[in-house]
Amino acid sequence: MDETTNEPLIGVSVILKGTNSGTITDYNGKYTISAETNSLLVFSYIGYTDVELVLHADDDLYKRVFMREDTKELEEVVVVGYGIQTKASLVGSISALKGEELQKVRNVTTVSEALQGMMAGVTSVMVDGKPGADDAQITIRGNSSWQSSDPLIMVDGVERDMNDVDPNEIESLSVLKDASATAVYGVKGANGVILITTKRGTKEKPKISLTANFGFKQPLTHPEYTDYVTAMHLWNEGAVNDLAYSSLIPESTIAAWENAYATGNIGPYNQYFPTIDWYNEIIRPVSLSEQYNLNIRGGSEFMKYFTSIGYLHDGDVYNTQKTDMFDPAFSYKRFNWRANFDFNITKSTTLAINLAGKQGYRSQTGYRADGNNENDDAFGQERFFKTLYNAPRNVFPIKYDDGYYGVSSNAVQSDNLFLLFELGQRIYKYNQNFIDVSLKQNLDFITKGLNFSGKLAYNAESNAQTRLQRYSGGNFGEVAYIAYYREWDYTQILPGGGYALKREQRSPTDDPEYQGRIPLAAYDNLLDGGYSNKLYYELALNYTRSFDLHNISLLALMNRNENNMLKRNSVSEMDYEYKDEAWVTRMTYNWNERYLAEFNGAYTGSYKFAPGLRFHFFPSYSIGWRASEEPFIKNTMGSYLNNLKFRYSYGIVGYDRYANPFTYIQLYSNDGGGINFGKDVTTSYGPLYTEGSAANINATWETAYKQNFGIETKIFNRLTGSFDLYSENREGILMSVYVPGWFGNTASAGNIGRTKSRGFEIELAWQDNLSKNWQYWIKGNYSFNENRVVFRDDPAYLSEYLKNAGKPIRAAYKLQNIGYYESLDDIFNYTTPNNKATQTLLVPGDLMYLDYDSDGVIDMNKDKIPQKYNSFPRVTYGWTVGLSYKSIQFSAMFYGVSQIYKEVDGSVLWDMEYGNNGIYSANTDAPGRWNAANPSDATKPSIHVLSQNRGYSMIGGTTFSFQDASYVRLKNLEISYLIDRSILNRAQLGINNIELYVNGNNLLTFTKFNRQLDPEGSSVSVYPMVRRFNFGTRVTF
Amino acid sequence: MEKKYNIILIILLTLFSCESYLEKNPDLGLSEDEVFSSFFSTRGYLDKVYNCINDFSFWKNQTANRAHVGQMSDEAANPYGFTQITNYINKGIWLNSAVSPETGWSTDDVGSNLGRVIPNAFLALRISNRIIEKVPTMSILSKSEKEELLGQAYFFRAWFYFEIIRRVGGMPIFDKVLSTSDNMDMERKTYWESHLWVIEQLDQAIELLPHEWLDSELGRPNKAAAYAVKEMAALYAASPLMCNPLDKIENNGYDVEKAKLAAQYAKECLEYVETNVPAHKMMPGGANYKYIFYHSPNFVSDESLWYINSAGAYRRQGAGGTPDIHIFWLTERTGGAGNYGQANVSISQNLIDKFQTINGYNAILTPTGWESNDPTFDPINPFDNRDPRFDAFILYPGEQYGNYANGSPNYVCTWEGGADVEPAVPPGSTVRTGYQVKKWLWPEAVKLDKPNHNDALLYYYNCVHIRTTQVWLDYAEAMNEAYGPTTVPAGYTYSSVDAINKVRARVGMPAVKIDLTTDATRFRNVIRDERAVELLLENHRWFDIRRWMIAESLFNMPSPIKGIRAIPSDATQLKPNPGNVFTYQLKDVPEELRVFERKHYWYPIPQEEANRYINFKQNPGW
Repeated sequence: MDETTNEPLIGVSVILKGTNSGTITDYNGKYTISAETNSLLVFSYIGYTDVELVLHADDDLYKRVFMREDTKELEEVVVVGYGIQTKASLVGSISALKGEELQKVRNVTTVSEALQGMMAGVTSVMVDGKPGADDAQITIRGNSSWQSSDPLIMVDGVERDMNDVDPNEIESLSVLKDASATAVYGVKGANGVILITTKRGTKEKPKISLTANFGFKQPLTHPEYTDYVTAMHLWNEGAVNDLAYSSLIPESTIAAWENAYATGNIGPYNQYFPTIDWYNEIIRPVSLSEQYNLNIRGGSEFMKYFTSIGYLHDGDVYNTQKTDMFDPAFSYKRFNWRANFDFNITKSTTLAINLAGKQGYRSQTGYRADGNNENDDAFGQERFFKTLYNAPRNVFPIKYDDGYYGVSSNAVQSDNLFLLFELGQRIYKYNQNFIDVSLKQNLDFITKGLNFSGKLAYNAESNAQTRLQRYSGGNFGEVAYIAYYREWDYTQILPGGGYALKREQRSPTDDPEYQGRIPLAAYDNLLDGGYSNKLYYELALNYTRSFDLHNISLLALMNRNENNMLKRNSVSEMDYEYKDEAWVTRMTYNWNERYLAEFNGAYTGSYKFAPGLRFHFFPSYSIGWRASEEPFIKNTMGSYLNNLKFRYSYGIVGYDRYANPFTYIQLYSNDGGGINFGKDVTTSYGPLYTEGSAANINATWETAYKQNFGIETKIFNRLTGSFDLYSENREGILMSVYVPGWFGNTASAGNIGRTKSRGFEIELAWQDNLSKNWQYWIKGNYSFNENRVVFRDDPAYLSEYLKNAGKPIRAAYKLQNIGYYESLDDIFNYTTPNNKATQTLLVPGDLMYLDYDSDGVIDMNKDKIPQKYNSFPRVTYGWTVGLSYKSIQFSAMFYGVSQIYKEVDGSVLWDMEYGNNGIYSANTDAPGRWNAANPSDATKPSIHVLSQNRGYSMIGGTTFSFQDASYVRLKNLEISYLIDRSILNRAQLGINNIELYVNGNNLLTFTKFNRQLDPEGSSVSVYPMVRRFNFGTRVTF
Repeated sequence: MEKKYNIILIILLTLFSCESYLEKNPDLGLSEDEVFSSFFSTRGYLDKVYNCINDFSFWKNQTANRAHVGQMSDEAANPYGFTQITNYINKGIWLNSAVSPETGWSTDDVGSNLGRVIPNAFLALRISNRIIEKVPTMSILSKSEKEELLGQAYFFRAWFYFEIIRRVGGMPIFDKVLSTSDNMDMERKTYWESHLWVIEQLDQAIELLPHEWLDSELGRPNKAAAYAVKEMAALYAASPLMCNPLDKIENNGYDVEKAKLAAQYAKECLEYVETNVPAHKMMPGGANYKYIFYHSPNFVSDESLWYINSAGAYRRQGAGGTPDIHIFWLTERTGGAGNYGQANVSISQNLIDKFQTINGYNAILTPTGWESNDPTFDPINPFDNRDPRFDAFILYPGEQYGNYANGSPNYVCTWEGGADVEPAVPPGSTVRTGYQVKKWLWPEAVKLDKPNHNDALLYYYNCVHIRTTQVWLDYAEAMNEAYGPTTVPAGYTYSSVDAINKVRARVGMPAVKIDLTTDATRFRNVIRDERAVELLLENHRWFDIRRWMIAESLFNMPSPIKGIRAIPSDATQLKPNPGNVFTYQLKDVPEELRVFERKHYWYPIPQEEANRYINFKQNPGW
């Protein structure tokens, strides 16, 4: 029974300690169990403290047991920098998650994506859906520097990538936000820190857990177009606007198409009236992903262990076909393994050894990439993915009746998406291995509460690629297959049906001897910068002790990093060794857990800077007051006010990550090359020597001055909440100091940039029982952050509105759209385009822009004005609602961002985007264009078809193309069912429990943004972002 | 127990030397002292300036992307739509177009022939200044080594400074290596003051440089180069544009006194060549005239005075690629795709009109047809009996030039319906004016169907900044302005007219008609047309129309660039046969914009600099 309500509890497990036998209480809270005298019964129930009961011979046969709701929350420990602290005594601003909560997101492939909407102050943005390259970009408390906002990420106390950690291995995740929490990381900590701790063994008998997820995914958005007849009519309208009368489509052609549509004589393989919906042809209705994990956790007094192996496979949304030589599909396969051991060598000595790693295989089709860098495929990637949106749909069939592929007259093979998959395959292989060894020696024999620990960690990573390709370097998709462009004369119907051939063009060459199928070339090599090894070691002294009501702890620690890696653009040459060193201390004091004080300090050094500027001391000071512990409050409000804490911190943290090493030395480089001279015989003179960028002996890291004020509370044992208010001044941002052209060399870097930022975060959670069986909870978080550039070397005589200072970091500057030119009078009376030649190309219905500086011309630099919002959200929020009935659980998580604007890609914003290539294509909103018949309701400007005519009105960088990209999305929806233990026991399978669940990600999105684009990724040039459906099970033995 | 303490203590102590732990002797590069420790490394530092010389005959020069500087002037048209010259320069948008060739100040690719000319010049000045500061203090260098390095450094100071001032106008004197703590907001000098500094440097260079370098070092500037730059700079300084103060752009004609100096310097240059290096005199004309522009086995032709030595680099693009002469000059008719899909430089009718008949008469294509006073001129065959340089420089519609690999003849298919113009090729590949360039293209190089053939490597060609013929033309211009067309002052051998006739006689053209030589104003146009013809596409016309301040009047009209429409009597013929007769019409090339206002005579300094500095003044109008 519940201790306070006296209500019976249903489903409490009653187990004989040390055995498997036990039972569960029924609907009336009753249970029956047969046990011997003096045996120990354990009653456990979720949300309640376990109760142990020894059966005595003279006990009543009816044993009434009262259980108390678990209020351990405040005694819970939170992982902080270089240690752990109890929640009650925490004075830093830290958000923490349990590993289970991350697993709840189930089917996302990276930890960074799983963090979306989970915690206040953490912004996670997905930009690409490509399997294996779909990690989200994480920012903690927004941007405070234009150089880098990447947080420091530590896995088990060592800097490592978090995205390839299997969520099943994660015990907890902490996000350190204020200076109190991050100052111990000194020169690395200014952008916040994420700490991931992996699971460790227990002293219990082995618990085996098996998880399996099967998922389906599909793209979130797809292109939408008008039918071809409408597009051709619109084309003709645009051609008239542009006076391009020679480009008019003959009415006979349009009539033929109209007839074809009417009779249904169209289709992707119809050679006269090809009508290809590329999305339908090239995207699978559903594609598969799967994820498995098996882990064993247990141990004894001497040794504890946690071992885990995982496998993930993320499939392709593209409908690629495997050939006998290669598989062009996009996919990612990843194996994870981990074994964490703890040995109690002596009573006072423990040794921990972690062995972990992963092997990932990322595969993609062989579109052009320059160089050996996996990230270097920007050009090829953009061309490739954009094709889904802009490939011609009515110019050629996928294949002609004679079996040849179709392409357009410009003979760019990328026109036909199927040919893109004939280019080959690239496989990236990522191997990482981690070893951590740490030793902890209790030094109670010196003084009680003292211990010493040492740690050694080694990472090795090598990344390689295999390329199988059909093209040789050079141009994108140069040569793969023979394809034809065929143009028909729709006025000449042939006797047997069909039309006379007007023009035929064979590509890639009209040489009939050429048979295509360039043989496959294979390359196998390390990626640029594809090898690294990192050594980390740490020594620490810890002292924790309570004297009466005075609780103190002291930490003294030193660590070093030594990183060796290949040079960024090299597969053979090692870079200079990266080194840093830190001396860290923390002192905490509290009186009776009521008055709290903490000091953190790090004396950290970076090899990048000149002697004397390498080391710096970063301190932070924080105080806390747990008002709820004050007797006068406890006595009056203690019955419902479970916790009320105020805390404040101030501290200084640094950031050196983006700084180039050795800028303090003036260097000359050997160019290698030489100069050729001679009369008729070449003689080479060299090598040449070049002066490097101007040195700056004073270069050092940037410094953040952070303040944080927070309130934490818990009321009625049901509502927990926290509120944080913070501000930060960032100074000494290392940036290149402007030098004029006549300086003749690149500028040196100087610590001159300054910014400020501020914001607040709210986290609230409510949890209650509706009745015995019904439980519900609501959790939400909301964060607001804004920033301003204070100083960024703006030119002195630059107009104020164009200066960086006073604007947000990476402020958006756009031409202000003020409507349409309604008449020729408008065009010639209103301000002229900067390029005067363009003025004569304008037509009524083109966009009109504000001449902000009133100089009579629209200047693409001076008339672009700063916008209130930019492409980084100022507000992010998330909320989860959950409901459970007995062992059925339902939860829904929403995630949203607002106060964000983004550019809409031209290919979904404008019509006839590829008009110059003879592609007639209009978006579904094209009927809303300005036209003379309907000038007042226009939703977009007049159509142009020639690129020189499009260049003024149909462009990006205006308030017309820069649109509100706020959204709210149903990030995760799940129903799960935990199979009753009593049922399982009856089946005698040795299974503890089975959990079954169905869930989905990104199921609904509410946004005002262009619906052909996902507001988060907002690009047509990346692998489509996906929606996932998933079902899975977790079985525990 | 005791032992345990000791171990901890020792560990802690050994770790205590923080600063030195992070001390990493950066094996990154060399220090300044190391570079200036020997003659060879010092020369290796100086020689970087050779990569900074504007290489206008290279198709990617200044990242111009298939655009030739001639396309900025009235010399040529270019159908390729993705060039900065088309999209910024010719639209008159110069101010914020940092990446534009010629006018841009972007430092992308600086230090190579892809870098923009002005940033490259600033880099070269920094290098030269450092050589001039360092070398005199280097005791390890012999006297001759010092002279060799300093001679080049003074020369390059002058050349690159001249490259800047002839584009942007008078500059502060950049005579030292700037450090970040120096005041960057320097006062600009007038063009004349700047020019005087150029002359000072050249006088030093003339002193120090050798008459000739060893054959193996041919390509470094010698005395003749310094003389030539000196007279060229002086002619510029005397020209109408350069005689303006910093805050005005007005055309008040030449400055006679400055013109006299220019004439004197040109005379000195020619005399120097005649006496000391006669091999560099004007080369013979006739059948060998074309070998001034492409040559073998020598990398450089004899009359080149200041040039980039291509030194056997065939100007290939990529390994085993096609020689890039094709990219500039010849259509490959591959449907307009790829680097060799189109001819990127087509000569305008404007320039064609400057080629006289062999009898010395003008022959002009007007809206009503050909007009010429030459009684022998035949409007059906208008390209016969023209100035021999027409035959050497120009490919006209229907001309047969070179062969296919199988030996069948190639024709310039730029007549209406031909394979090199719309609709057979897309707008981006069409030969806009109907004419193409032959000046650097030997017939053997033309094998349309086999671009990678060795005949395309038969000759060398390079980028010549000054050749002896130019000095004669400069001399003629300066003499005309200083003394009039026919005067021969004391100490001089040739009049202005004599000089022009010398240039004409070399190619077999008759002397200028007497009635054109009666006064300086009349003869001025003769000199200018002669210069336009002889120096076609040699990076002069653009500068000439600016320094003469005639660009506004050339361009201030709709469609300033003209082409020819050759209409065959039988349009179905793929090549001209005897019965296929062309008629010719003048046509507009409206796509070839030339937005040119008064402010465009000087290139702007970038807005960024103008926003930062107050003494370093922006040019008028920007």
